[in-house]
Amino acid sequence: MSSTTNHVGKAPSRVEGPAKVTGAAKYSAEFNVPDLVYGYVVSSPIAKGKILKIHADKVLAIPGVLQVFSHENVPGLAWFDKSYKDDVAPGGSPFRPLHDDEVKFSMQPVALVVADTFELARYAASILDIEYKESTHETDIEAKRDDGHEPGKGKTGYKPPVRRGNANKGLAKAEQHIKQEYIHGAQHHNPMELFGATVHYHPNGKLTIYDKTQGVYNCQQYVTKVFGLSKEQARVVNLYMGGGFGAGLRPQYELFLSVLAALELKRSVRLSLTRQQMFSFGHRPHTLQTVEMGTGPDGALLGLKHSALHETSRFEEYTENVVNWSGMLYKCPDVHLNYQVAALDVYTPLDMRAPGAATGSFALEVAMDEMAYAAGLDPLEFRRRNYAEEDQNENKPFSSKKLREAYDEGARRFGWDKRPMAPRATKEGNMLVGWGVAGGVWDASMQKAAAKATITADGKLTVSSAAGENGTGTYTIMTQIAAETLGLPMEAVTFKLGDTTLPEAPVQGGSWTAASVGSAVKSTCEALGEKLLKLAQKLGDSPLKGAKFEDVEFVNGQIRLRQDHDQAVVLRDVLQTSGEREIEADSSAMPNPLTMQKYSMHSHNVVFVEVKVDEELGTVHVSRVLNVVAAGRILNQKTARSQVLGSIVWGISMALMEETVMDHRFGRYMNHNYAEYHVPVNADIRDIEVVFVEEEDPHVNPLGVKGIGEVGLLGVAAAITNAVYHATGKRVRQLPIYLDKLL
Amino acid sequence: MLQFYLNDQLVRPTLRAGSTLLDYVRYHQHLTGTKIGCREGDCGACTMLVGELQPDGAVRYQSMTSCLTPLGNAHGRHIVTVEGISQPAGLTPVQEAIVAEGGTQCGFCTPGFVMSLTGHCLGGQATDEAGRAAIDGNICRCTGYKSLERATDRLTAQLLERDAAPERLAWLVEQGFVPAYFQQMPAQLAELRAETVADVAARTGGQLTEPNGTETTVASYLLGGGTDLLVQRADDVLAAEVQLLYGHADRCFIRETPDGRISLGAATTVEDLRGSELMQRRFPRLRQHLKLVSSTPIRNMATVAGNFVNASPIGDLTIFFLALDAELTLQDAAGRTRQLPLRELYRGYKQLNRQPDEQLVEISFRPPAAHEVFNFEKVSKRTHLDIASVNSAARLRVADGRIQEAHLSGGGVGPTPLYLRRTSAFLAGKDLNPDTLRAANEVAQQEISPIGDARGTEAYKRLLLRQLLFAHFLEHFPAQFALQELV
Repeated sequence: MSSTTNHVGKAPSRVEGPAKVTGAAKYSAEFNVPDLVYGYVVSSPIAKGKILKIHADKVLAIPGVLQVFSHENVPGLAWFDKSYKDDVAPGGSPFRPLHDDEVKFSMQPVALVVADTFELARYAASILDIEYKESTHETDIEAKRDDGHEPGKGKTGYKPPVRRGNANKGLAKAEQHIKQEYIHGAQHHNPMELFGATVHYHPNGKLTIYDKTQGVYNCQQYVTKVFGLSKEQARVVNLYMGGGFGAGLRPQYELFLSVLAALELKRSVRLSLTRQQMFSFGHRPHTLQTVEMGTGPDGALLGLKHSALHETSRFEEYTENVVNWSGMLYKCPDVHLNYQVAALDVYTPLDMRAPGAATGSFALEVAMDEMAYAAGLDPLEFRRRNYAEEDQNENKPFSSKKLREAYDEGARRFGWDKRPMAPRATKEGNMLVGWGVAGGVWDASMQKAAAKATITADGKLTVSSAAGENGTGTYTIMTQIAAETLGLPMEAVTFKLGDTTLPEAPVQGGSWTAASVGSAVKSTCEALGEKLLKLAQKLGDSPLKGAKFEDVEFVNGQIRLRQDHDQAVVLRDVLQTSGEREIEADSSAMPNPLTMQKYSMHSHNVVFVEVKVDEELGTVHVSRVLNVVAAGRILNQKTARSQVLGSIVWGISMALMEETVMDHRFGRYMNHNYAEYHVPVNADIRDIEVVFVEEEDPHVNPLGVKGIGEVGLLGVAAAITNAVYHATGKRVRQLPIYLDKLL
Repeated sequence: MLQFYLNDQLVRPTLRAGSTLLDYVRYHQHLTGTKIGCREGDCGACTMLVGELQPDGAVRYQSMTSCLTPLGNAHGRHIVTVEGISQPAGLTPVQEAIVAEGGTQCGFCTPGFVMSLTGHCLGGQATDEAGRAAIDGNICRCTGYKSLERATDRLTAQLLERDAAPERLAWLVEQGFVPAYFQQMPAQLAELRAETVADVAARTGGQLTEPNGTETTVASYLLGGGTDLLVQRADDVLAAEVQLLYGHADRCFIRETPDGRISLGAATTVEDLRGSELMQRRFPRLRQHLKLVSSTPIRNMATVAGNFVNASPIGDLTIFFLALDAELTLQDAAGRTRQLPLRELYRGYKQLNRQPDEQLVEISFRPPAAHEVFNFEKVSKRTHLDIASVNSAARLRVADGRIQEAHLSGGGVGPTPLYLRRTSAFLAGKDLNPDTLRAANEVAQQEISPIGDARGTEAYKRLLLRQLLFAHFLEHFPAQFALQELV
């Protein structure tokens, strides 16, 4: 009998779908704990200066207002920076809320009002009078063009750019040459769910902290270090997260403030930020980039220079890998990459979906289009000619790379061969039609993760690991992996996550959850399987006697010999006959250092776009997007596809709408709300499609997965920009493509 | 006493009428299925259904963003949250479709989509277009729009069956779209109405000022749909006495007067206007025009007068009615009324020619006659939930190749919504040809004074106004013009 328990690679619906569509799924600010009081954050209206005085008396006199927390009354907490450093903090001194009288950025939290009701806390916060002394701020990266510096190696995952050969010499040999500047403004993650926390203060002084975060362990270690608590005293839970996109990688200030209030008041506290305050704790930085490249007679890249400058805060040195990708996406002998940051009076930027790559690939891929036109080559053909067979940054082969297959598949489906080379060649009614292509490369990473699995006599399996579910599909893919590994139907498996009482998992980021937690789940279920096999072999007349673990398979609720499927034992019988009530196993998985040394492990994509431009009104309609992704094994066709469909919309949004605009007079973002920070509505999105090319990778990790959360965003904005050029003949080098730029 | 049905329960909150329905449901009823995403009506995560008893005895359900719904506006109505449609027996067809199509990702926008689509199933047309229009005000950041669209389309076939069923609500209950208690709602709301009508104080949270001036309760705020005041001044409104106008029979009507004009109650909502057969007869493209105004839930709440009084230089309805030369009736606290042309309402940026105690009670205008045409154009960055960069309306009378009369308005091109007086006057009596339009644009450019902001540079707005001015003529006289010869 063939298997009914092969779940991996299929398209099951989300196991937590029913909880989400019925509103039963509980997000952090929704846990109803008894005797709750409510906090409301007061944000600084100035970008830089000092707080002279907080006039809290009037507010404290209102019946029902419990406390106004500020630097004037916050108790002594941990002294050293290292206590405030979280797992993914960049170098420098992390911001400490309510620490002293200094204001370092606009909308800095300067006070927390706690009251009996939400409405009262909000009202009290609105009338809290605070005196400030303002000093001169700098918030404009444009003014820091000559003031950047190469950052230190503060942050996990940051790799200082490597150079090879002599780019100037390479460029000197070139027949065709381009050099251009590419800019995009700041962007904010803006997940739907506002950051918030509910801290349950138990009578014994222990805390259960429901926090909006992409890493419960990261928050737990932060809270325990800052407030001097033991791990038992601070349990952090996040069962559902209403979107993260990187915004929840670091502990945000609602966590600090709500824990502070709970400990001081010895009460349970809920705190939600406002949409405006969601623009105060990290963003994709405003980045200025220059790309220069040149080609020889056959269109081969002879030299490439890519430099980038973006802001960081005065107190931390935020880094992301912006330019490195340019050294590995195409073959080029002489490459010079340069990456700088400059400090401004803003909050530290924060990883936002495909940090660095979304930025860098925009510049590189528009430059590639410009270069293709300069060299008189079709932009896709130009990419093919410069295909990187190996990772020249690391001088290693790729563990797998099916980008060429992605080019072929995409071109065929999109009909790329019908594309006229010349801009402004196609018109439909009064609309100019253009086609563009671009792509990207992203890390296939893995982090250490642990898991636990328990099977009970009724055949139900519970697997747990403190991973996160922020919309990616973690509950579902882990259920698939566990169920398939032990040959069970998905309904027999429960996956638990998001709780520091569970085995440790890394923060939910870097597209590494599937690889890391997935491998831990697989390995844990295999460990459990070995125990089950041993038990099965103890049964009288066991058909599996003498079989090694490698000799058996777990399929259809049975353990059976691979060579003889009739020699099988029903799993449930094993437990029931053995008399064991339940069996448990723990295991973990971590990246293999040998493989990492040997191979460069990356996912790739290519995006084909059609735009229609109304030249009279300057409006751009993205009428068609095809995103072809080579990202190893796809665990769940439905959730993976959703990830990439979402990335396409993000890319459209990045190209046409998203920008947080700073009013430099006040050092403040002007459009800090959903009305003015535009993301698309359904009616803005036309025909978008996703294709995964088959990519088997025996090296990357035991599951062969590369992660799918970020790669899909790459190239989308560049392909739109390139399509707009093809439609109109106008080359836009600054995002978003405001309508004005096309008139 | 403020009372309404929240799902299957009759509730009598003691909160102030100006607090929000969202906070009542989440913080006081602890129903957390309804989400908070922005508190500004811009994301739809807090969408609920508001059911109102109709003259025919049925209950009409409309989607609304509860973050901007004054609690008082729930009075006498049936408020439905996601908990109120979810059933232990299994998912509703809407929920089922969303799960099956992968339309829920992080799940935070999901209850809002579920409610918008449930509202569509209760009363919407059985077409894909109507389904998609129902979710125009729901933002998904993850973003599963295409999956949600597939889920929406999947419902269309089922809704065709609904339309074939002898009794719509019974069929919806039988198919599990809504629980059985929905069938009791018409009777229960009717019963409530009997109490409600007598209890004007509760109905309004204060008193509607009586025309004879004897009523002394003057509310601090007149509250319509709440879509502006609860964004701008939520704390003030919460603390104030409010006078609720939403759904008030004296303020909600659309009727033809004997002199051939159309008269609107000030609290008429945008969607009332859009759905009015009378209006559709007079403005054949009305549904398309008003589709560009914000989103369905906001149009279900926002009132025409609110748009005028907000005084935004770019108010869509203001621009619409400026071209129609609408006449306003203002009433003061003593009950005295006076007439004021809409074109004279604005004194400067956000400043009105209105006494503090005067309220706008009625709007009257002459609809386009048979030989006249009307057009409305709006350019914004995104299709819905967006403020225009520039908008414009035109009412034109053309005969024998000559413009007899023209009335043009433009938004986003000055400190107030502008009636383009000089441009309109210039056009009157001119031959309808490209030269006239080019010259009219020259006049218009003198008349406007846009500033550069997040919605575009000054130059861009000038250009847009020109294009929209031309578009009015291209729309109605396509045979006479091509844009190429105009620019």
